Amino acid sequence: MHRRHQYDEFRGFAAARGPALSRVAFMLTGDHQAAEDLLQEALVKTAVRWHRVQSGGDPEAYVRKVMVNQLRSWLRRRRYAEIPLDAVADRQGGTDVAHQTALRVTLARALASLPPRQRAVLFLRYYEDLTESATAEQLGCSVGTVKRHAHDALATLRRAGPGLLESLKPSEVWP
Amino acid sequence: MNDQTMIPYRELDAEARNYVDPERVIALAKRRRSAAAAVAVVPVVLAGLVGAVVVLGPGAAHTPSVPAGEGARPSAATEAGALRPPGRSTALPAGPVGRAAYAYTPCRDACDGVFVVLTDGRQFVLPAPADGGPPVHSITMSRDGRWLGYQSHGRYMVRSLTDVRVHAVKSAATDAVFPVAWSSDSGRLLLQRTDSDTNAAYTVLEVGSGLATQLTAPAGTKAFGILPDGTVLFRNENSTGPVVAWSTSAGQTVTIDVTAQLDGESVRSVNLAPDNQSVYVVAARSVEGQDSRELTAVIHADFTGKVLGRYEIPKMDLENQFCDVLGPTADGFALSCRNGSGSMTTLLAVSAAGPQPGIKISAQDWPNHPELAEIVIPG
Repeated sequence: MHRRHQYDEFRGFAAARGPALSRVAFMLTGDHQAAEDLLQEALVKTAVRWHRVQSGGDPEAYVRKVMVNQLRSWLRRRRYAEIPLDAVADRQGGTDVAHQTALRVTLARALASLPPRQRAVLFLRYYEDLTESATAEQLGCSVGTVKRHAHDALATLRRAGPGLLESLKPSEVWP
Repeated sequence: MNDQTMIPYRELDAEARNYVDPERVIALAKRRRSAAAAVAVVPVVLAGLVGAVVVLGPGAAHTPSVPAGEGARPSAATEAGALRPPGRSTALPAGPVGRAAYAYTPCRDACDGVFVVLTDGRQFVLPAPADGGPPVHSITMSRDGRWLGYQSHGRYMVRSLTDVRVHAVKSAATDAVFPVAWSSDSGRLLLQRTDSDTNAAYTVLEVGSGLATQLTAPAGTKAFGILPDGTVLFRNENSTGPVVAWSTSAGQTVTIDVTAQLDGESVRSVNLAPDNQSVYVVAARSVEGQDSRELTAVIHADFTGKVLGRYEIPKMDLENQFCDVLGPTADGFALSCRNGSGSMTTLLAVSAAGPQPGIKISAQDWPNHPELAEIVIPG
């Protein structure tokens, strides 16, 4: 395949699926800068191997898998800031948009504070809706480890903001 | 937690921006391709590598010799100990190639490869599956540099670098296999067959014969070392107190107290020394405001509890320095230290002679997050 043609196709893919992949990257990191780094590195790897990836039939799935794998390799490498327990502002009354936004920001910060593997488990179990077995298979670990990571992650989110998850109103468009 | 309460988590994706810049990605991809294809333009840093081998040598009896092999060339940058990319990315060939000095991945997520550096300075990249190279944490080398272990397609491969022997360790589908430690004589490799912290199962591989023996850690313990006769050492996995205790698969128990050597620190890890009669206890202090611990000192103590030395981990003029344990060397301990501003990873050997910086992976030669480089040393 001609190199220019190769990158033209990749460019089209990246532009079309960029927003969806960006959402995945943010859910895996909880942080805009980290999400950008994670996604960019995954896309570079994809671009380098574009012919082979494309022949696999699902480049988007490939990029998502690379991002999850990258999280695994970050396991020992990152330091994590603790989230102040007072980060969740007291409700001043009502369920206005500003309050909901503040809660989401706090939830994102709490998510970013989790170790990468816990974020990966949350993503696969509760965003991708994979079973524990499928999650374990993707992460190359045991089902028990998946359970432990999910438990620890949710416990951390609860510590960061008691009732944080429950206090957010479900979106009206959520099925 | 029921599905309903996870809705706020799912809806966090609405906070995402669009992080994709196709032109930047393509530019980086082109640069990476051209770097991989370049013919030997950048010489290997002989002195830097030799320095690393000398620092990391696994003991006089087992220290690999350091001949000026055909792949090693002098470099103008040797005085800094800087590790530079290989001129070309050559896959590790089958069969005998020579002993390994260390392995590394120079930046985030394997950076298109995990490199194995031989004692003569030649570098080879390990075979990479489609979604990236083998996890660097799965890489291991025997103390004498003769054996290399790595994950490959669901199996753990242990191959000789000096002859044609290869062992493959299989595990259950949901298990991962990771190396724990080598015996000091390089005859046995201790592998953990699951990454679960409970019911940890282990395999002891005798590399000479290929014989594999399975064992399970006592409840609440994890293995941290293996003796040349195959005896495995277990210690309480959550213990951070000053009384360090461990048991062996042969029924022996050992307890040492390092209270007097600690200065408000907790015990981070315990590592068997190559003499098989002493341990290195890594001390750490909690970092205020962060869910992290800063390594501060390494305490050397023999099995009778006698403290042989406390070696401070020096600040290396790295902003937000953070060090990881690599393991014991011939006469001390090796650490991998990086700075938080994203420009460098440095190998640091600590011994009674004082701290000695080894190889350095910096932004000058490795622009893609060198602070996330990983180094693996023999043993």
